[in-house]
Amino acid sequence: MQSRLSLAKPNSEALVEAVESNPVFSLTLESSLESVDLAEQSTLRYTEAAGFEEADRYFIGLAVREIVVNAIKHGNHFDLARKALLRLSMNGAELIIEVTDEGDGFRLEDVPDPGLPENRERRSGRGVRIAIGLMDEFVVDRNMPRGTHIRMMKRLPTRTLLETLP
Amino acid sequence: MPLDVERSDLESGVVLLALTGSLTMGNQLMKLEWLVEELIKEEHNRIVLEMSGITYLDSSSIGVLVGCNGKIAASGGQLRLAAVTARVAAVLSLSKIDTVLSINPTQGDAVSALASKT
Repeated sequence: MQSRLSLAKPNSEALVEAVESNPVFSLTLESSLESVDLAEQSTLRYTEAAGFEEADRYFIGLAVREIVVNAIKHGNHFDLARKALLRLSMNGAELIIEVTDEGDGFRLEDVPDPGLPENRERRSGRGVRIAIGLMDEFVVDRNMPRGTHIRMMKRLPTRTLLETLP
Repeated sequence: MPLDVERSDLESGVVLLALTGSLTMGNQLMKLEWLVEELIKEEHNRIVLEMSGITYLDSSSIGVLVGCNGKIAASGGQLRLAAVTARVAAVLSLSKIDTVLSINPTQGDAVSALASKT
């Protein structure tokens, strides 16, 4: 049975207890830069409680940072009337990260590939690619009537993420 | 951790910017681009970013590095990164920016590569 934990400023001890009892952690985020740090810090605490090593927490936190920036900047356009939602849960050895915004949505195939010559000088568009590279699964769904729902999955590894990166 | 930038003007004419802290979205990040723009105005367009003190960077900062690289190249100069940590190197690789920017293993290598370009 899952429990729900929703804290404005998550407390590490509370998170450890909650993760151990198979929780769902959810956090409603304002569309501001401060929310990016809050989302990342919450993820770092959650993944520590879930048993991820420091190097993995570092990269999982970065993936969350990139997707929350995307949600707040490109989805919600820093509109304080719009919210984003971060949801963290463990499904066995799988960390499930979900980020939802109230934007117009996007298709993964429309995200420019920074490896193509015509995109090499682009200043944006790399965050999603970084997150995809750091996660074991990355799925984008469009919500109706609006909004984007991103679901990322990371397994508790036998090796650190850094060891598996190119 | 806030971004700190220490500038050293080398005898060769190369400018070394030693960065420490985090490179993430925000005003601190823009200061780096403004500094590079000032250097170009001063006709200092051979610039090394010493990255060993950067513990964290995100895609926003990679965008700024791309912008700095483009402006320096347009002025006829060159930007080089040096001494990136393993974690930062991994992020640069995932973003494929390592195909755009020149990256040297050490500060000395980067400075030497630019010192020969006058």
